[in-house]
Amino acid sequence: MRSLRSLLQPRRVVDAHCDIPCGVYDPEQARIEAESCLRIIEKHDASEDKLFRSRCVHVKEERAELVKHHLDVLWHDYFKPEHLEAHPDLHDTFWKATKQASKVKQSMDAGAAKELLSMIDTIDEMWKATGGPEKTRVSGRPS
Amino acid sequence: VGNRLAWVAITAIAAAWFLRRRVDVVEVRGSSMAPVLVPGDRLLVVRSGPRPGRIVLANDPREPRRELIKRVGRVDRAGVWLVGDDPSSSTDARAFGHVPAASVRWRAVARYWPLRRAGRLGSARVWASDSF
Repeated sequence: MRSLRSLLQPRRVVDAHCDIPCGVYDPEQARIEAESCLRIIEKHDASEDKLFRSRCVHVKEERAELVKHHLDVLWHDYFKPEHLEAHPDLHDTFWKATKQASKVKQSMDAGAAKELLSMIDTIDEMWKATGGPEKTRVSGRPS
Repeated sequence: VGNRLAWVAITAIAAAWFLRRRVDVVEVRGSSMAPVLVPGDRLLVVRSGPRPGRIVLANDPREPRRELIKRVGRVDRAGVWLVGDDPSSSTDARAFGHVPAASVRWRAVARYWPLRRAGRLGSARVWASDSF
């Protein structure tokens, strides 16, 4: 019996290898940057300080660019052709959301930033519906 | 009688040695072959050359001591194009190019552990893209 067990106990480990801890995706990353945009616009509007206001404009543009980047990564790297079958509006949703991120970059319109948040939430639903949380996030994070 | 026993023993050892060179068991690490193979799966492997669609073992051309488990995408004059079943979390031919056909010598034929997922490992068509 012991020999049978040792026969079935592999001594060779084979690697279904991946170089880098890739495959971690979460629309939350885009959402946090988009939330920053909204907050910065609100702080901008509440301030009289010229210098502060110009800093707000600058930082908000940076954050909006990051939103576009994170959405692009999800779009190209996370979503697969089979997801498109289940969500035929996937491309359109991403196209509109990244366009909306450009709008937030260009303007100081809090409404545009809110609209962007809701578009990211739509993408988040698709990510969840395709098993994103289980497939892409590392488990074990305290809730 | 002692003579015969010795022969039986020698034959058994020779058979075991021969089998060991033809058949082996391995454990999977990493998840680039998900969902078909997941870390911890134990597989039966047999000596066999590369054929498209098969799950094979091959030495990592960048680090020969590492033995990879991947699927054969295609075999041509340049060598064997290996890919992971989960392209988004696999380092494979897209990163290291073709591997020599001679470096693919084992094929995974079945999983025996965990028991509830035990069974034959078939061939599968491979996704076509060569890029990340």
